[in-house]
Amino acid sequence: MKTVQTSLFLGLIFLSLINYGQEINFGLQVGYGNYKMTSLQNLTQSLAAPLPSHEAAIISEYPPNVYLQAEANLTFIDNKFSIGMVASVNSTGSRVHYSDYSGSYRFDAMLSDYTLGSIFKARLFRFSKIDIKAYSEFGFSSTTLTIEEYFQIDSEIYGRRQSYDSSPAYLEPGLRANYNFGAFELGISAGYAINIGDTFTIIGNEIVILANPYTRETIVADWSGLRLGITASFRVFTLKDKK
Amino acid sequence: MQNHNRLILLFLALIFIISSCEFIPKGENFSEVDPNVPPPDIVLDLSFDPDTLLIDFYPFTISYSAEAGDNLVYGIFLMIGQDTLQTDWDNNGLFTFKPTTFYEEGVHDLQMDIITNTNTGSLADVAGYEFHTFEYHWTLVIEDTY
Repeated sequence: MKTVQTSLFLGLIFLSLINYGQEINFGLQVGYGNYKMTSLQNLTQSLAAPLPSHEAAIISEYPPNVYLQAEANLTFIDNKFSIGMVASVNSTGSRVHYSDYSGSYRFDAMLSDYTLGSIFKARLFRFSKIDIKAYSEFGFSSTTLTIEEYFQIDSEIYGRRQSYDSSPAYLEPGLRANYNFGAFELGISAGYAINIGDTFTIIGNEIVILANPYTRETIVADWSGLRLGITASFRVFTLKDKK
Repeated sequence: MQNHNRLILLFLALIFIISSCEFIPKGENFSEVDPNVPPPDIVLDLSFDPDTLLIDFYPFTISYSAEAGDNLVYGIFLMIGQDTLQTDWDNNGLFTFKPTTFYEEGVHDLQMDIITNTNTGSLADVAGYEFHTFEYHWTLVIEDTY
């Protein structure tokens, strides 16, 4: 009943906004995101520390990676403001690997994150066909961490694969510069995501919280970091001509 | 119709980019480690005469310790024949021959195995799977003291 009420409430708000809206835009953004992942980096360091030549054993440690973002916006007041929904996909990870004549050790952590949030944009300046906009996103995400570990010495083999999930929230303020080609806009975007981290639990077992076995530090999904992207958006519908 | 085509194109592009932005760990690190590191020299410190150990009264306690230079001594096994008298997971130990323990009167072979790491720096060495074993034998004479 509560869900129905909430849906009706949001539906009414959307309908009322559409009444004031001018157009609906759909946009895509592809960019590079870097990710803080402090506690996961500490875990990588802890796992590599006992290994011979442990610095070389860290092959990758949560590097910046390509992200994708899709958004739908409703614009208002001569296209000065817009609100909308935004969804994005982020992914990063790490690998610790060491091998020599006696055996090998590998630890892979693969993180994928699907976000859903709201976005608010306000035009700050317009120079000819270039719009400078400030934006702010807020939303929630679903992060999955998959860990694969493999250890082999002589005939002794140990391997495991385990998945964990986490549901952090995020806030991302930033700036965009768009060039207007009429119904089509092309631009660049720079923002900084601030993550409100959440602990990881084993999928299907919410009691077991992932922690660093060496330091007892609780592992959290921290997607905080810079987002630099290229945006392309186009007008899907023109609702009213208020010019 | 034009809008539908745009949406289909965007949808296909979306699927392509989503699959390409998934992080897949790559790369390996193989270290060239020399397995032929010479075994360490063992320095023994014994409380008994290494020529012949004579047990002619009870309780009779012997002590021993081993040093292996830069190598780590994992443990010391003390044996008579096939019977293990004592295992010390350290580089030293004490063992007491007691009257309650039955050993046949006569001459026995007292054996001590000293286990050290190899210091090759390999994964097996670090994990404790690779070791040297040093075997020592002494003559043990047990006399009837009753």
